[in-house]
Amino acid sequence: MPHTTEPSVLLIDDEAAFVETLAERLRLRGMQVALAYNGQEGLRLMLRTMPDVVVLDLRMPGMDGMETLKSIKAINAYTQVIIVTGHGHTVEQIMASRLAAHSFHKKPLDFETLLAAIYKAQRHKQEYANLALSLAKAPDDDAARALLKQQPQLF
Amino acid sequence: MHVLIVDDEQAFAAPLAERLSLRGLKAQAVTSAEQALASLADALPDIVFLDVHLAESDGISLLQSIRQHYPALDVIMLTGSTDMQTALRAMRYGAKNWLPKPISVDTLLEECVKAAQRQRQRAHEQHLAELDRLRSLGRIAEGVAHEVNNPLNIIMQAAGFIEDLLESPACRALPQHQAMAQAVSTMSRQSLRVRELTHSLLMVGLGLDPRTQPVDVPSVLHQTLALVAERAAQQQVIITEALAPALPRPLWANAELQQVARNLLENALDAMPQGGRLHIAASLCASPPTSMELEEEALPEHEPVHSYALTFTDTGCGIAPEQLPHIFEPFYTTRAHGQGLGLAVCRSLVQGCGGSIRAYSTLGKGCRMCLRLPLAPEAKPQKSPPSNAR
Repeated sequence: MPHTTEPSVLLIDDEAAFVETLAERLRLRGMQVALAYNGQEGLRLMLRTMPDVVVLDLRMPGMDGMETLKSIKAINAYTQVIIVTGHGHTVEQIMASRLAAHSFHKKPLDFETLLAAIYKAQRHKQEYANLALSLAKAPDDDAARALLKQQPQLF
Repeated sequence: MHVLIVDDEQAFAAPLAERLSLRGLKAQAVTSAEQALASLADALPDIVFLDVHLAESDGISLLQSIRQHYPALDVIMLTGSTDMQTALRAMRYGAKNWLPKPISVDTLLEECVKAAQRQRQRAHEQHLAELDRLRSLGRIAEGVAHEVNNPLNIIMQAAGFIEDLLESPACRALPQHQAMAQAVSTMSRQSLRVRELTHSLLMVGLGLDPRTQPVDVPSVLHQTLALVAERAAQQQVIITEALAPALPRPLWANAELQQVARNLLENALDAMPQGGRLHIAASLCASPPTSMELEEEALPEHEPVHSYALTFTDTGCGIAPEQLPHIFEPFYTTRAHGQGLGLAVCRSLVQGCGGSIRAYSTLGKGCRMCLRLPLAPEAKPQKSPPSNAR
């Protein structure tokens, strides 16, 4: 995998006209973008590309967004998932956050907000990974707890 | 409660009306069908006691014309004790009951109580039917919003993409670059307007955040007031408050209170372009009136007994009486540029937490919006019955 500071992103959305344009716009900003039009395809790409951030539509035919979200987190818990939905019911929002979604956005999407969310998600992924590494190296529980306290923004 | 007695025997009807008045009812006695119809046209009573035998015309034909013109009005027939035939006919024509003469005041009072119950029941049913209508309107609005949102989402991203592409050096060199950039930025801006509309449509149907908690009303209101302070100062509107921070807290979501307060404050400011006063007050609400008297402002039965009352009173242009019943309906607006959604959203949010909102107004004098909110459980007095509000 080439090393780059721009996040690698996987987009999963069945609305081709939307997601293809979005992919182009993200590529223009130097991101590596993979594209899937349904959940299964998304998971295959997930395994192959191991992106930093996934942008996921909740309502898709076939495997729905919640299932896809669960599977993504099962494959790699550090991968941050940004939910995009045309409905935005609060119940969905709560369910998604219980399944450790990074953030939740309503369509029609504000591109600048999404962009900021992607960068933030990438940063958080890095911080989670670093934290896990230092926790693994911590000599005892107290040291581990102290480490956790230093990272309040992650929890 | 307003009672009309129609009986050609003045000596019977007048004392009865007087005795009912002594019991606190507003009673009127008339002796002919013409007088009865004139009185009905003047002010509608809550119940009519009608003698089957009137001097010029019989009571049954008066009953028929009352039923035709005022179908919601309760009519009780007064008959001679042997007159079963006429009584039955009257019941067929829609009389609520018949009472054989002689009649005691207590019997009449009993009928009045029943009529009041029926009236409450009708009002409650009407309220439910209206809620139902609003819910289906909300669902339609929601459906439309989603159908619009999908293509809008695509349009917004496509416009954004063109904006991105126009930034490239090759495009910048084009002579039409500026015109194209302008056109595409117009597309983006107008799309945002549509998005704002679809988002407010969605909020007619659903709340913002269901997490309810005991809400610190004064501090939430202060945040909201800060948002409109500048506008109020510009319009020379003086805002005063009596928010009593020590009151028990209502159960609601901060964001929803904020949304409702913002709407009501902006409306009040709209009504006072030449300056004025806006007073915000909070208090605890006593039990609803328990007397038989059905006042205009009597609380419907479903309303919580103990509640938090929040009022916004302005000295603005007020609302015309014929507009007042409609102001909470979606898409109803008195402004040239309104969407007519502000108050509909307010009502849907207030009702979502189990509360109610009402408007009182005198045209040219001002307007008062009254919110009643259920209290958070631990703040309730112990004797109150358990509430089913969430």
